[in-house]
Amino acid sequence: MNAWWNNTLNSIRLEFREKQTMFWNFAFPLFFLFIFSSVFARGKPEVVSYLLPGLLCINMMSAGFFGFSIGLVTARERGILRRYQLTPFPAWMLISSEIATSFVIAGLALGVQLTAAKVIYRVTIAGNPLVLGLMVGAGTLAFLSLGFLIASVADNAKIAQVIGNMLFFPLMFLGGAAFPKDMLPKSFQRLAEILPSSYVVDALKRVIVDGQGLSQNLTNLTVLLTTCGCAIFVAAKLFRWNAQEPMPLEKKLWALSVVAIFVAAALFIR
Amino acid sequence: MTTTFAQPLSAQPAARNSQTPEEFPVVVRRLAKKYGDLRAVNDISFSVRRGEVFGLLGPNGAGKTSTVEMIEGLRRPDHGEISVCGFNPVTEPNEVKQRLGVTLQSSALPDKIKVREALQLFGSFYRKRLEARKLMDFVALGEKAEATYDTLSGGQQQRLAIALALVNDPEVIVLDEPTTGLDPQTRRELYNLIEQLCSQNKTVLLTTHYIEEAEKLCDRVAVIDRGVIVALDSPAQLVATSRTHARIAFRTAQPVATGELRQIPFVAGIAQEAGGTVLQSANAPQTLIELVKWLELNRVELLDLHVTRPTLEDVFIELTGRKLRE
Repeated sequence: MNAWWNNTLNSIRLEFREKQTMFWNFAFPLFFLFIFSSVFARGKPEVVSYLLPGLLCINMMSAGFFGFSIGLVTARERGILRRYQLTPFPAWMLISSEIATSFVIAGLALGVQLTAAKVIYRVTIAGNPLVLGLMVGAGTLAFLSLGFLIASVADNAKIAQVIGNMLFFPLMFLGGAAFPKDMLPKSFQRLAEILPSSYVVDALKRVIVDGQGLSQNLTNLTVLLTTCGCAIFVAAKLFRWNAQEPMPLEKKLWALSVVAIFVAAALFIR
Repeated sequence: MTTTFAQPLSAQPAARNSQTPEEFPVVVRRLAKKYGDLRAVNDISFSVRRGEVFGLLGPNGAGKTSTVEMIEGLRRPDHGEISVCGFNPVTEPNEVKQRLGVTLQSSALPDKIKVREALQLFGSFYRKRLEARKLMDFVALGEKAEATYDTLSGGQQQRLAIALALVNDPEVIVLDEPTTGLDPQTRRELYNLIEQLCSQNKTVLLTTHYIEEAEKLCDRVAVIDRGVIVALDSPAQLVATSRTHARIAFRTAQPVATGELRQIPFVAGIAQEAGGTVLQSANAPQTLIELVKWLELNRVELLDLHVTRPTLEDVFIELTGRKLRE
């Protein structure tokens, strides 16, 4: 466990030394907040608080789909993972440690965004801050897990970037993160119901805007944690230390079918 | 599929007992690995004695890296047995990793990690660890302790890789192409480092496609080509058994009649090359004595002379029918 802590603290330290990471994690979300709040909401607190759940969700998604997944694929491509593979430090410890690192960084970034919204735009959070923290945490974990899945499927950083974008934009526009889902046609709204971003935005709206508690968010929480578990399960099965080791077709098909079953089940339950 | 070497197998227990893990920390028996139709490693066997530097010499794609990666537990063999300090890399990978120090052909560290941090972090993964300060001093990176990885030169990065390989005070060190891609100066620095390891009685298994490296560093060399060991001996012995002759090249003030030179004992061939005469000899010292006598007798003035002994490179060409660096 000592090794796990060492690695996590080390990785967090390294994140703070990367100027690029700092920009995308902290400066960019703030810039987004200012644009949305000042231009679209004209600085009105009640409108900003309505936009805030989507902004937080976008922040989480970029942490998972771009920050974490590209970071992991690059570490594999450069042979950093192979350096770890030589040691007795097990794969699950390494991955959980890297997820924890991204979780901490994303948590800080979300905290900064929230604080800025409160201080600059005087947004009030109607619900319990602990429930808000829980839902933000669950959402972040869900997207980091999906980022892990992208990293496991993608053979290189370019492909990871493409898959990340292919997920990011539909999840942002259809999931209600960029604009309210009510503005979408009915068929799209139905599709949006299987997107994890819908549940994150819904959960945060319930807490921030409507002041609802945990009991009204149990569905959201369950969906997000299930997404997290399923993504980690598939990603762990596909995990590779070595970039030169291409994934066999059977494994790709297996991953695809598991995800398809998951999506079908989600559609059916709805 | 694989069995620990120390466990009873089938035949010749006596022969196996003579190869205890104490004496032979690395034992490889009938190892094979296929990638699709390509037999990357095809029935390879060898044992590395404690305290020796054992080299796997061969061209790119000969199967060297596949072999060491199976020893390291990074790849699963299709057939054969491996024992590292008495442990099986397939069934007991952690016990093997605790005792092994490895540099890979292509690996890296995060850009922003400092030399000291890297050694402390990786040290914390092992039961036994050496102090970061000691390791940095050993690889002459003491002044770079607080430098981040991306600011190090190629040679410094490779020295850090060696320090990382030593972080668990390993019984066996595996260096996979440690000097590939480095400039000659840096390569010499690394040779010194590896020689220091040998003087500390560490067991080293090293792969290379540089003949000089194998000749300079290794106590024994396995010449490997197309997944098969074609010769295994000390570099000197390999060269001694070579059919290639030593070359005696000399220049004289007066022209010499090649026909008479043929009478000199052990001369196997004569050629006139740009600015000199070249004799091929099966016994260079004897030929040399006779040549000097002949030159004096005929009052031919000797301007220049040098002897080239066959090298591992010649041995390699003899064994495989092709050059090492193609």
